[in-house]
Amino acid sequence: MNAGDGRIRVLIETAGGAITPLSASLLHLAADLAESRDLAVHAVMYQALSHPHDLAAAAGRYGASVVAVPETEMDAIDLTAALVSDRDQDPGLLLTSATAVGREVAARVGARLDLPVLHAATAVEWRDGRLVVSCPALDGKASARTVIDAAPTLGAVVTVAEGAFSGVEIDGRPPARIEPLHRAETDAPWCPRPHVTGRALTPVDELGLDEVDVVVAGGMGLGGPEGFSLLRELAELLGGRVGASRMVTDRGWISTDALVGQTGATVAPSLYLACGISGAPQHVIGMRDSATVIAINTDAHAAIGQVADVLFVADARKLVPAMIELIERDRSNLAGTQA
Amino acid sequence: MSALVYVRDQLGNGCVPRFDRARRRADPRSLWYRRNEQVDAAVEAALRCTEAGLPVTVVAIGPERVDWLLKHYLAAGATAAVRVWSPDLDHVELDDSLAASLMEGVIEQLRPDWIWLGDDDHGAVAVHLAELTGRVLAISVVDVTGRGHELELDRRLDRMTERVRLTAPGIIAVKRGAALRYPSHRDRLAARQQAVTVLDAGAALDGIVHGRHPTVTAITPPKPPTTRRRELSGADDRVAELILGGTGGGHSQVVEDTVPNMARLAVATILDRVNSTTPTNPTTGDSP
Ligand SMILES: Cc1cc2nc3c(=O)[nH]c(=O)nc-3n(C[C@H](O)[C@H](O)[C@H](O)COP(=O)(O)OP(=O)(O)OC[C@H]3O[C@@H](n4cnc5c(N)ncnc54)[C@H](O)[C@@H]3O)c2cc1C
Repeated sequence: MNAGDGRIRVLIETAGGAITPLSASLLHLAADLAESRDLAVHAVMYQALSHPHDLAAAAGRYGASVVAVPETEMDAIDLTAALVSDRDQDPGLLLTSATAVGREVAARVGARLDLPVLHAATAVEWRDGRLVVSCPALDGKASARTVIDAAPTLGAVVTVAEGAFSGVEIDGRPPARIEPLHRAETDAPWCPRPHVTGRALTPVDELGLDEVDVVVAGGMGLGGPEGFSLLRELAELLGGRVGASRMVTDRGWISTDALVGQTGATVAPSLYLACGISGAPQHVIGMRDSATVIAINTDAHAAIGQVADVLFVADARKLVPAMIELIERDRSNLAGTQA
Repeated sequence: MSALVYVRDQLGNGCVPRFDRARRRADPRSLWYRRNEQVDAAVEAALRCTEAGLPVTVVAIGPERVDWLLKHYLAAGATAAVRVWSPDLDHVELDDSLAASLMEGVIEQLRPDWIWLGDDDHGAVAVHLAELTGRVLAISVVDVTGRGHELELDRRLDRMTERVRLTAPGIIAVKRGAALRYPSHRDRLAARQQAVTVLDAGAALDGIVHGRHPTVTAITPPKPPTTRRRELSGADDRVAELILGGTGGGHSQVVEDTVPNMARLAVATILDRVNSTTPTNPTTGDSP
């Protein structure tokens, strides 16, 4: 690939008009990869936006030079058609997040352009002029490294899951240039789409433990089922769900839906709060990939300390109510200022 | 209305593979397997959505080893089992597009109305199949209602549920659903006697493997997670120190203080983490 004529395209998603943390991490990864090879980073949106200039400024700070925005929201089929429409250009590298839309687009573009598709990458780097991508293999028990030639042209699709990389904004970078993302005449007219009959925000209590951003988990240290009422209150305040260790689900303090670990759910939320949980390997196996782990335990040497970022040495039955009170006070102060 | 379910098993939770780096693979003797929850949910959904007496065929790609899985699904109510295999598959990487290409051969023969898969890793086999067969596709499915030719599905998008209607022939990748029915002892015994049809993948492979993408060059045990988010905005210094100081590798920050002080620190740390991912309504962009 000649210097300057290649590109890395990044499929980005927004929430509340802002780039999601996962998309920000993709842009940052793309900017890192692009820097040493003189490539351009093009952000591609599929949601329509009322304030594209704010998004362009943010995308610029994360390293994009161009952001393509559609007039109306596109689904995975439209988006695939748009992404493969300029077949005469080098495909370059396409980065997408491992969300439902990102996964579908990644696999469709890979199939349509006959490119390798690598899922849930944990490392993407240049080595000796070739792109080296590490991904989980063998059901997550191994890491597989794939080497992709960048000459004469680079062509690959890589998806990235939450927490694998971080997004860092760099002040002073210019805003990305806004370009329209045109609906392309699909090259796959055979491709039917499902008939969408409705859409609704999913209530947190209907989300699976593995889908929420915050898990507030409790173990034997809570002393009984009443300890879980406190955890429910805290989880509700944080928009999360309650998890539990096996010892407590076996005792019926909470239903087995809450079980985390070898015989329960495997979770990787942004925040995992472990209250009165010792950190047995069978529990840890189900939560060790959480982005931040905070533990509350009366034992400063509890095994949970091995995986926790912070261990508060305290009686959870005292610390949790104090935390609830502080958060409620914080929220009511905030409401007071906004009123 | 017939159904085909693509099934696979997965490594047991406590299984620790031994790696043969020279051959870039795990020593098969060190591996043991269990059923995959999403595949279980797909089989159960297929059984519920197919009218009684009509065929539900379970199909796996793999050596004789995977027959245990096919027999389990036969015991649970599947009407036939097919295993696609060729010893040549031992020497190639069974990636999503290869799996889809092999399945396409089976689909051409059986012509099922619905193809069901577990949306276990990436839903990618389902997407490749949709591209190959031109069928309508829904991945990330968490609920299915209806029976026969037309089904209503709930798809889980990021914090949002989308309800879609699909008309056969289609492909459905199930992320979550009802638990697989428990086969009776009698059904298990009967399934043991049922034959698994073995289809030779050899001929199909010749056409598919040639000119394939770069393959895996190394396979190693995964590194412990070290990629904690490192950016912090607006957190106070002690909180920043707490989070950034923790490595998750056996060096957590231990805090012993008064309950009010610890509560303040814990809440500041938590809110810093939570506020960077406040849920929003993807359709309106508003916070709920
Ligand atoms: C085959 C098998 C599968 C298993 N699968 C799972 C699984 O999927 N998930 C799972 O969780 N377990 C599983 N287990 C059980 C696991 O081995 C542990 O027994 C279990 O996780 C321990 O639960 P715990 O941490 O709540 O209880 P304990 O080990 O009793 O720990 C309680 C902790 O609370 C602390 N504590 C006490 N009082 C307080 C207080 N007032 N405030 C704060 N802290 C306090 C203690 O210091 C201790 O660290 C499995 C076991 C086996 C054999």
